[in-house]
Amino acid sequence: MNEFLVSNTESIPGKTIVEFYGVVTGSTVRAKHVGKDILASFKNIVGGELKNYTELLQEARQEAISRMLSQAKGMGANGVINVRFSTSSIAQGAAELFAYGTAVRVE
Amino acid sequence: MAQLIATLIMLLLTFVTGNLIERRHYKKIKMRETKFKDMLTTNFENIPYDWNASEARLVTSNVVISLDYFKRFVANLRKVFGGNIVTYEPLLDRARREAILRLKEKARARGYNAIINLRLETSQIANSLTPKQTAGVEILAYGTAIKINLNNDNTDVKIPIPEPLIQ
Amino acid sequence: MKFKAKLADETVNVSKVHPLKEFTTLIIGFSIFLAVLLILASSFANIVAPLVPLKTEKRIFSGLKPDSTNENFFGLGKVSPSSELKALVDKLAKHWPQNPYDFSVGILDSNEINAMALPGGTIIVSSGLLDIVDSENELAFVLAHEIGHFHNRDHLKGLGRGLLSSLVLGIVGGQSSKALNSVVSTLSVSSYSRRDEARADRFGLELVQAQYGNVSGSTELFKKLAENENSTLLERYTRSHPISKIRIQEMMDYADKHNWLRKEKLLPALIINFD
Repeated sequence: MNEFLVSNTESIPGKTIVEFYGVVTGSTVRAKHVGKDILASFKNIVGGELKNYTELLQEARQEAISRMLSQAKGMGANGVINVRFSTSSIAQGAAELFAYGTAVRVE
Repeated sequence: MAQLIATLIMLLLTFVTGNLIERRHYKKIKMRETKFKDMLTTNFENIPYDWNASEARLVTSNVVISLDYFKRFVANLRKVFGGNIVTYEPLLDRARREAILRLKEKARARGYNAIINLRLETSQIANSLTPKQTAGVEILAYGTAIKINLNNDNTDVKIPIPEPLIQ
Repeated sequence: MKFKAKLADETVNVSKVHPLKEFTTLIIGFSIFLAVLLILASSFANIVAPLVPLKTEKRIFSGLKPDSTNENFFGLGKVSPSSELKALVDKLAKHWPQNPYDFSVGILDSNEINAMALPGGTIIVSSGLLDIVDSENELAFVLAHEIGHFHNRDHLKGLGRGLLSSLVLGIVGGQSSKALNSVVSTLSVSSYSRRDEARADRFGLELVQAQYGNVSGSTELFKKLAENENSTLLERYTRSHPISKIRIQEMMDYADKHNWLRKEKLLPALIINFD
């Protein structure tokens, strides 16, 4: 058990799934601050990538993944497979980043 | 001034009631989760052949949940500074676990003992009176309920699950 | 592949921050943030507002006259024009030779004791104030004090501050509660700075002295307000004209310095008709 495996397929090539423990989830809710909101609304006029938001969402998604993994580790798993993401706006200015998958032990 | 005092009273009141409701809900969730612990649930799409699966049927369940005044107030303040909105987290956690539990209950009531290909969906339900504010959040859980017969439960046979179709 | 039922760690997806702690930190942070923004906005308004040319002021605010048909004048309430008060104001304003305004005076239907100067040359006096006034001199000083605000162009500061703070609130508080907005607007509407008030007091005294040949009765209203002990601390704090013994003392000192008489016989109160 040296490396924690995460994949969005149902199997990991070269590995055998020995046990599985059930569904694990990880989620965070993030808000961007007002300053970024204002900058973004200017950027909205000209279009293009909203770098601030890209970073923010990626950061939050990373947090969601690490929460999912810590659930899996707590079950004694060494991998999470068939990972799915979902992002949803749950209120004005707040987004939920959610990740889920099946916790497994592979060999 | 009157408005401020009214707000403070509302905050205090909803903090107490919100906490109470949340704690009670969590207690119920934990109880049911222990009850349904042994029900196989996964988001795999394929069924390993040794499960001896028979019958399959789509099951869905949903939960719409709403924040209390206190939590919404804190969340709105948090939006000024950005960062983790911690008061939303228990809401979604509760809703999601409730939705999965309802799914399991439905499946079991219909005689199934496992759920595969579980999917979870989240969406904001708008309030038509105040479009900017959330009326609630819906969590939708769906999956395929199957009947399985794990007769080799205690053997430690390693069975590779099918490789993806594209090699 | 074996299925081993295990419960997921339920504490992972909920942050271990107590909601009350989050609430306290956010409230404190937000108050500091807002205070800094509002102080910046109001000092900006204080600098810029008096620079607005008179012509522009008149053009913008020419429509801002009391009108008895308007039930909610300037967001204050019902304000009815008063010819008796206007006559008194005109009498006093004659002693301000460069007066560029054609004042209009209205009575605000309110139990609060208040008077204010609005851009464009409108003076508003509350009916509650008229009720407790016992002499013409007393009322004349209140009006002269408001004329003083026009003279010093303070009235634009208040408006500028209000505009800028509502702008700040619009940006910051757009997503936050209405209650916060109401608190901030109460605080931002209230009070010119103490220095502005003192300057308006001195100008008011000059007008009263020029009109009546003495300044008797000028401090009467403040004395009554100071005696009125049932006003709560909060009310005293938010009242736009703070009661203060220092203020009365300063006025008396100013009068004595110029050898103005302040213990003459007072004129009877004007008869003012309002509903």
